[in-house]
Amino acid sequence: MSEGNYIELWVNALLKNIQTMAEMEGNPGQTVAQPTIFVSRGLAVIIGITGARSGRIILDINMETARQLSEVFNGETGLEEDNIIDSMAEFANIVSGHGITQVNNLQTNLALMLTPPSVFRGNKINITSPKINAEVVEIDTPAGSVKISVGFEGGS
Amino acid sequence: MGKIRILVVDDSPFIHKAVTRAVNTTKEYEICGIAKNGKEGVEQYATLKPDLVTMDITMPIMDGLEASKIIIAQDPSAKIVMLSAMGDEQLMVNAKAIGIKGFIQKPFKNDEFIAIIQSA
Amino acid sequence: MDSKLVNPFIAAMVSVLPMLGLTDIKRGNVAVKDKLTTTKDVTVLIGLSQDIRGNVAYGLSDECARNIASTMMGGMPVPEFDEMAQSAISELVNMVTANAATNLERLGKSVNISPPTLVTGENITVRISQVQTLVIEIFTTAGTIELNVGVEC
Repeated sequence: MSEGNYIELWVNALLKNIQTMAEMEGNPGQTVAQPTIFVSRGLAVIIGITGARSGRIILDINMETARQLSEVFNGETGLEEDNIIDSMAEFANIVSGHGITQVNNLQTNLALMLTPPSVFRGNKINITSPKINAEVVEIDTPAGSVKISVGFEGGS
Repeated sequence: MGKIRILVVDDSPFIHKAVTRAVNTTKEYEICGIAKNGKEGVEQYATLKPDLVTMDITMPIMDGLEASKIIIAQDPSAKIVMLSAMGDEQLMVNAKAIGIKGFIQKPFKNDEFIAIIQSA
Repeated sequence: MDSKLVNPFIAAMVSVLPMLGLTDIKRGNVAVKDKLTTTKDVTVLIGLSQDIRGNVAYGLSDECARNIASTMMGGMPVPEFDEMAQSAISELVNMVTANAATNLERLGKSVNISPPTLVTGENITVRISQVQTLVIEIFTTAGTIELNVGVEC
């Protein structure tokens, strides 16, 4: 029996939190299998999942979207790049936390935990997770597109 | 009459700012310290002796549950409110068992935050 | 930064890399950075949780990555850092980190490791931790691996 990625739970978490934190409505696209290479738009937050199953979450945006979202989250404009990175790391952390909460409540034996977030900034960033089968959803928002990828190591 | 002093333990600078904003909406609370991980939190608790602690869970070095256990062992009257993005039932059970007095799930609105620290 | 925790990683490099055909493993410079800015073409990230929490990032140049992959694959030429080469490097990192975790177990620390994530790109800035990151250069015959440890206990 293959175990899923529960990506819909993470998409829910993202939609809910972008509504709460930015008062924006997100429009999720289709869930697709993630190709081997995940191409980042410029800012990628990676959070590891450990516990009975292990995996990772990637939250990916371009810098302009990151800036717009961070300005709303912080209630101020003119943010330094460091603040933007912090804000997006925390946003990814919150979305991941809400996602993990739903999974743990559904399957109490999993006891999944998150690692602290890592943030990658740069050009032509390609991300590969060789041991992981992931799914991706692109969510359209007024600030731009937010992509979320969730994957676990193959079923235990 | 002094203000009620809060120690914020969280690895996210974004949360430091968010909690500061919430606390600044009140007259009776002030932030007396900020720690970036559980270990710093334990150290600062001993030096600053705050009236209340907001504690994140997922932090590098030492997580919030570990830090809370240590603080409560050293000071059974410690008032710790968990401030976390995670909130599953088992986690809440574990937190309560440790002696954590309240729980705020991120993201929070200022008035929700204040209400929970007031009731801790 | 507790060197007691970093030594298990260095020891793991020293013991695992020769098994994959890499010799002359030497430790170079050690530096402490607040924020990790890497000029490396390839970064492999592994997250740690439980008794020790944080992230470890292994940085290498494209050339070094291809050299190591080639050595791991018995000398087969690797003109491009392709899927096969990426898989080899991820495997290496996984083995080194798992070995480090075993060393940490002997120090009484139980560690869970997340699967590796491999990142390539240009002008990459990586923030792997809100705590200081210890950056250690490890020289090998195939090139230099930069070991970035953003954990502590």
